[in-house]
Order: sequence, then structure tokens, then C-alpha cells
Amino acid sequence: MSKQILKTYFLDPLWKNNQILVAVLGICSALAVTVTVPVALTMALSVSFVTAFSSFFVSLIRKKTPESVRMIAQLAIISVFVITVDQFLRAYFFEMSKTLSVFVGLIITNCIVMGRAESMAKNVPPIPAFLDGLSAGLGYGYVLLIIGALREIFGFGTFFNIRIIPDSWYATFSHPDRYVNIGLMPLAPAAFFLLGMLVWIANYISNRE
Amino acid sequence: MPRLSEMKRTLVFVFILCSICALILSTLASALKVPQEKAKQLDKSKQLLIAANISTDDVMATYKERIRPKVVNKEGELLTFEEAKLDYESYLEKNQKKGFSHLPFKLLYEIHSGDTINGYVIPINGFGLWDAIYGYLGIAEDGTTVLGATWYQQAETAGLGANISLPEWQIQFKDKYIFQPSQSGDIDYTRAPLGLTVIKGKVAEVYPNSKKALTSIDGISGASLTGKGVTDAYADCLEPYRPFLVKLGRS
Repeated sequence: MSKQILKTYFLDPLWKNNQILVAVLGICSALAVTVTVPVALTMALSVSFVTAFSSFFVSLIRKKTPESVRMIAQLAIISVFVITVDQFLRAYFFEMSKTLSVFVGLIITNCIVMGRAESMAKNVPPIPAFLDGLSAGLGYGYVLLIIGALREIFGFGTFFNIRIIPDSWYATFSHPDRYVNIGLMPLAPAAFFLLGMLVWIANYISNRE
Repeated sequence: MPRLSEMKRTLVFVFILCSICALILSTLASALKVPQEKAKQLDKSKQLLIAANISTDDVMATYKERIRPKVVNKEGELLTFEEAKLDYESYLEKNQKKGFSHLPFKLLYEIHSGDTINGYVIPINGFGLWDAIYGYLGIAEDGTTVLGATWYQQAETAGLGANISLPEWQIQFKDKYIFQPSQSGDIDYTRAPLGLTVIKGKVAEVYPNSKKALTSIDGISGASLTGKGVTDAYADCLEPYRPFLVKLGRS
């Protein structure tokens, strides 16, 4: 397979077929785990890992898979990788695994993973499937990071747990007219509005193209 | 019969796939068991230090230096594990799950600062909405002022009940009382209700002028059942320690 074609496999889900912005999949976790950037980053990497490798293996056994148990087989493969991520986080990033709690396990039900397995991996050879899965995860990941960054900066005044809006800007008892954090940002609805705006911007740009 | 062979093929496929998946997962689980246990242990020690109101960068060293496990008997006397003829490790192992407050020898951690004792940490356990919850409560040496509180293990609803493990919520426990003082401010150690109550709404609004504010904690909206579980856990676990706490309060 030529390099050019492989490149399209990789680039397509990043923008033109972005799983969140265009296909509007994986919204649930995008709302739940984007409160701060470190959480969003962990989730983005986990999902990229899971989609990439599960797509690879789904594609690898695609000719051997009986049609009647196709989806169950895909789910089994996906869950192996999700549990791998979960166990790994528990061993080496305990605090992060506590914050993410159920959401790592719920990657199994993330429509993106199943969606890539069903619509791409079962029809193409392993390498393109891997690239497609990886970039679907990365496409999801950068949207998560944008939302996470906006929520963390405006909701807490920090970025990656480092204070970027200086303490001296904040309103105090003696200066009540100064800056305050946007209280909506840490809550789920904020992610909903931000996501809506990102979808709108993405549509606007691709329509102009 | 082509139907049967098709079915056979499917069965063989599923069997092989499941065996491979199971093999991978069990290998992974046993390989990661040690680091996972270690991470859990580290987190527990860290949570205990938070309850003891000690902030540190080197958790294990500070823990070793400042925290001593002890037991309390029925009469409220403080004993070391040797005096009670117990082995710390096996005692923990055996009673971890059901909690320590109902045992004849109840677990307690002394907080040392050099030669002086700054207070005590009591392990707390109970039932939340979905599953058992485990935490620590730090008490100052006066026997009633709270140093800090944490919940290190819970499976409550993410975003609602699970907020009991957030520092933002736990911070309000500091300087609360576990004995309910009367309106004049005195504490009747033998009879006063013992515990901390998670109320519905904000303490400042519900009890603006009552001494009840001293033993009450702001509830988390949408998590009243978890709040009730927390309240019950404190009441159930602290009551057996009363003889010991009375002694502290009176001395």
C-alpha cells in the first residue's frame, strides 16, 4: 500500500472525519473528564491507545471472524485493552485512576472505539486500521484537551495545575470589582456549551473549504 | 451438514479468542499486583497523614516517623500491640474489611511530634449508597476537636457522592467537634451525642445560631444517601471509642 494512501488513513479522522466534531461520538466522556487538562490528557491517551490497538487486532482476525459473533469478538478485544489501561493506571497513576474512576472502564462503551472497529477495521488490513484507530483517538484527544484547557483556565485560573492567572488579579474583600473564576466552567454544562461552539467552528471552517 | 460445521467453527473461534483474552488479562493482573498494592498502601498512608493534618512530600518517611499504631481496650486504655499480644500485620489483614470499632481491641493511630503526642487518628468505616466506605478521622489530644477527615476508599456515584473523597469537601471537617456541646458551650462527655452529621444544605444557613453547627457538615446536593452513610459511619465507629475519648476530654 502506498504511503500516500496510508497518510489519508491517518489524516482523515483528525479533521475531516473527526469523531467528536463531525460524527458527534464519544460526547459522554468529553463532558465528564475535561474538568482539568491532566485528566483530559490521560483520557485522550487512553482512548488513543485503545482505539489504535483494538482496531489493529480486530482487523488482524477480520477474515477468521464468523459474522454471527463479530461484535462480541470486537468487544472482547476492546475490553482487553481497556482493562489493560485501567490496571496500568491503578498501578502507576493511582491518584489519576481515582479521579477518572469509572470513566476508564467506560471507554469500552465509547462509541468511537466500536465505531472504528465496525466501520473501518473490519474492512481494511491491520496497518491502515491501526493508523485510522490511532488518529480517531488523537482527533478525540485534541478536542478533549481544548475543552479541558478552556475549563481549567477559566474555571480555576490554572493550566496543568500551574497557576496562570495571578493571585493578585482576583477579587478580594477590599477589591470586590476584580477578576473571579467562572463558576459554570467546572460543571458539566460548560463542557456542553464549549463542545457545541467547537462543533460550530469546525463546521464553519469546513464549509468554507 | 454445513450448518453444524459453521456452528462448530464459531464455537472454536469464540473459545480461542476468549482463552487468549483471559490469558493476557490474568498475566497482566498478576504482573501488576505488587505495584498496585504498593500504590494503594501509599495512598492510604497519605490519606492518614491528611486526616492527621500533616502535609509532607515524603509520605512514607513522615508516616514512619510520626504515626504509631495502637489499640484501645473496652475500658478506654491505650495499649501497644505487644501489650495486647497482637500482631499488627495479621490484625490489619483480618479486620480490614469489617472495620475495627466493634473489636475488643480497637485500632487507633497516635500522631507523634518528637516526644509529644499531637492527637489520634481513628479508622472509620460504614456503608455509602453503593458500597462500603473507608476513611480516617483525626482528633486532637483534647478528644473532641477534629484535625481532619478523609475517605480513601469508596464507590459512590461519580460527581455526586464520590465528592466525599475531594479535599474541597473534607476541608470543612477541620476544627469541628465530635462531642455535641450544649448551648452554653459545656460538653457532657458521658452523655453528649458522639459523631459528625452531614446535613442537607449549608451549615451556616441551617444552624446560624446553634451549637449544632459545631458538629455539622455541609451536605453534597444530590448525595443525601451518601451523606447519611457518612453520618452513620461516624456515629457507629466513634461510639465504641467513647471511654477513651472521655478520658482524653477530662484530662
